[in-house]
Amino acid sequence: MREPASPQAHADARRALDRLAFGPAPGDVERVAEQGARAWVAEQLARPVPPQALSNDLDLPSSDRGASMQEDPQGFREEAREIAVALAAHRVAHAVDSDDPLHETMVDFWANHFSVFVRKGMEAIFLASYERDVLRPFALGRFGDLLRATARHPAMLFYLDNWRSAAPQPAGSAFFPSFQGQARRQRPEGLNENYARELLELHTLGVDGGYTQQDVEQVARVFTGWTIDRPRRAPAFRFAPAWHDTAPKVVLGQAIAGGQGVEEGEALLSRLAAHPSTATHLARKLARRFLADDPPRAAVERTARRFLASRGDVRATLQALLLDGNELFEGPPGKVKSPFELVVSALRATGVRPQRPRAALVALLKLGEVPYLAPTPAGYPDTAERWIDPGAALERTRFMFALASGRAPGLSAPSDAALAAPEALLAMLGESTRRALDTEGLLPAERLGLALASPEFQLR
Amino acid sequence: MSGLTRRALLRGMVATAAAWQIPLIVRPARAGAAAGPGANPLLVVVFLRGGADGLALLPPLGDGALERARSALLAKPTLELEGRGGGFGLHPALSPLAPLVQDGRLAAVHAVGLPEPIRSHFEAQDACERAGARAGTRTEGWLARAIAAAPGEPAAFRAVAASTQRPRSLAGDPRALAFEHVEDLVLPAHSPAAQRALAALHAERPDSDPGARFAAAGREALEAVRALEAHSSAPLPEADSFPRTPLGQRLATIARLARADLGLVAASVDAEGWDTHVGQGAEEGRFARAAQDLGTSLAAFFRSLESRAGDLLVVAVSEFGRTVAMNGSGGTDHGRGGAALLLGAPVRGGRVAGAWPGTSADEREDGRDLRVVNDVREVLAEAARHLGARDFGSVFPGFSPRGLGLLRAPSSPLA
Repeated sequence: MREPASPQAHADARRALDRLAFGPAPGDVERVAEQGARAWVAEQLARPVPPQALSNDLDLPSSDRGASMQEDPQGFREEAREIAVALAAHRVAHAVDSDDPLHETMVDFWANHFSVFVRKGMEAIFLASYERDVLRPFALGRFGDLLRATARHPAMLFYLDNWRSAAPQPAGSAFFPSFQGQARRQRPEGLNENYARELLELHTLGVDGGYTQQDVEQVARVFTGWTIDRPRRAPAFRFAPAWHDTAPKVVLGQAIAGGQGVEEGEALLSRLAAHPSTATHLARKLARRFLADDPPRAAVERTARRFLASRGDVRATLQALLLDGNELFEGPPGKVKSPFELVVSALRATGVRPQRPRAALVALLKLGEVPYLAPTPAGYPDTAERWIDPGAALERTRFMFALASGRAPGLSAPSDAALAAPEALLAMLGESTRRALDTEGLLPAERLGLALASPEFQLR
Repeated sequence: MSGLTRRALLRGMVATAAAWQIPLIVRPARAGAAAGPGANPLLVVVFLRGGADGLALLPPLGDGALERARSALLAKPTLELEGRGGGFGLHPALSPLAPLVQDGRLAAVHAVGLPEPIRSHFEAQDACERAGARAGTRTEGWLARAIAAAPGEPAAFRAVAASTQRPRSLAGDPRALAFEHVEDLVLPAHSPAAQRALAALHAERPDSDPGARFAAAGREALEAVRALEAHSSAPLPEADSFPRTPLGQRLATIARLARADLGLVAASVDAEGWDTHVGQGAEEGRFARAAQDLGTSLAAFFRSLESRAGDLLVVAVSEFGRTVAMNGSGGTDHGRGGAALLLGAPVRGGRVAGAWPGTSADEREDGRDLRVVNDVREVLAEAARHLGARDFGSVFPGFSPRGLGLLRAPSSPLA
């Protein structure tokens, strides 16, 4: 017979599950403790991309529905809503029950890093493919591949307007009326620098990454002609040579000879993916996600170094962050769960499952974090300061009481085990929470609600 | 999801809480309100998220350089404000604000923005909302500092944001409430035991306890619910006359609170849809839709709060303006100088205040943008002044507002 795992092994297992797996489901802590938390993390990092994570189970209209936007705007809006519901339900279902939780965590991370907005125009019709063909396959792959895949995908080309960017034409050339009219095929009149700016600021170098307004304009010129073929019928990437700016450019002090067409953008993406500022920017964001709002500098630096040395290998980068130091397992839980993390961790802990697709969306809307609904290209925040205030505390408490009582719309009832021993769901138990749970006259559902609404359960 | 759908979706959830729902009540405004303008100042800051195009919102009239740079984006204004040169026009979609303009209760500041040339949304919004405080300091939000510098007692509803997240401008005010609908402010449990347990759960914890922050937020939430509970005469009035848009509904929430005697002093409201890179349009298009939403929502807001007209100042600002010239997709890209609006009875309106740099190519910043010649903190300072803030040094570190003189009389609780 094996020795039972030590309390420290349990604590480490709990921490690893909280940070990498949206929290433990029943039995997880014991299993991981026995294996050893570090060994479990290493195993998660080594797993091949699971086929089911790539599967085509996101069965959504994604190709020819754009046409209906013009013919039947009301019908299209309803369809777009259905897509948003399905995407949220799909993401929650995967996060709650995946055998590859780290993969799901990274899908969530990248969906936020390469954030798009489902409510912009016809964006919704591109998103099933965006998640299935871009975010999922490359979540633990090479950053450069992921960056290239986002840059070419209609979801990004449309969201950040690059599909309507062309080399400026000499004055006096034909006037381009309005893209909203029937002039879809018409050549755009000039640059649109939206994608170029967010590419530098958010996707790669970071806002302090050392670029100028001049660089933004030059990058916009590099990407002229990167557009969407048949956006409303069969959307796909297309390079339109006639729209491309053939002049030479200078980006970040380096000259780009003109006239190289789509190669200019491809080369620039590779260069940006390998840039030291990109390494630091990503290392800081990853460390903020997995370690602390204000992560230790040493961890950020070592992660950035590995990112560069591994040429953007996400697994190797995470290995440096999570296992080459001990920060993951040190100190009290200091990260506040985002609403998505909170909902998923509560479902995992209590065995509650959505019974219809809308259930997930209802909860996430109230708490303020729905997949593909971040209002800005910067995605959702990842710090306690932005998630915790009195209104949020009340909203979280209300949700947890509804869930615990089995009255949250569309959610199944919590497990008997969770109702019988709510304190077992907490990684730690402070004096106040202990006193709250010991209050006389509480119903089991109220005790479970209190445990899930406790400050301790908000943390990971 | 539209706000409307969202509400429909949520109805079921709210209904589950209905059994415990506390009646939401209104009382006539405090007797003091009758004492005259500014007796109980109320400030509403509308943040136009995304970089609102000041030159479309408030175009200089008879400006040849602007017409050459963006003729397809210029709508014919129906309302005019005095100012440098030929004056300025308001975008026609703002015509619901005509009564305010005619009464001289609307003023603007143009070519306004941050001193630093920031063209990133989040960085510029952060900088506006910190207004000079260093990032990461405990009281980073300018509105939190202005409220702290103003007279008056802390109250659960003193500062409110009608949003799911608290904006950075209120960071540093641990009591500031963020919520979208008044109906959300109900306790999840009604049994006496559960109420006692919730109080215990959120009892004060030592700072070293990682749960201290959430517990503090929980305490404030419980207090807000109790404050609502304490009003027990009539339910808060429904707000039917507001547009069914997110902005309209957020302002409806603020109006409902402001009409009850809950001590509301400052509110922050976000308006989205201003990042018009594509299809900006003139009389119609993305910009007109955002402006229409702003105009109708604000008009409804002022109608709803007529009884407190003397108290109410609305300030609308954005993180930056947009390029002078139209871009390649019938829109505009991130620029520098934008426009800010001040509305309400306390405003000395009818005019555009501050300096004006011109729009011709050689007058532009970096050859492309309206130059910033008016610091956005000048606008925020008018707002802080309305609250009765005195110590501007603490509100705007490292900056001394010269004063735009846009308020009729210095607001003071003693006025």
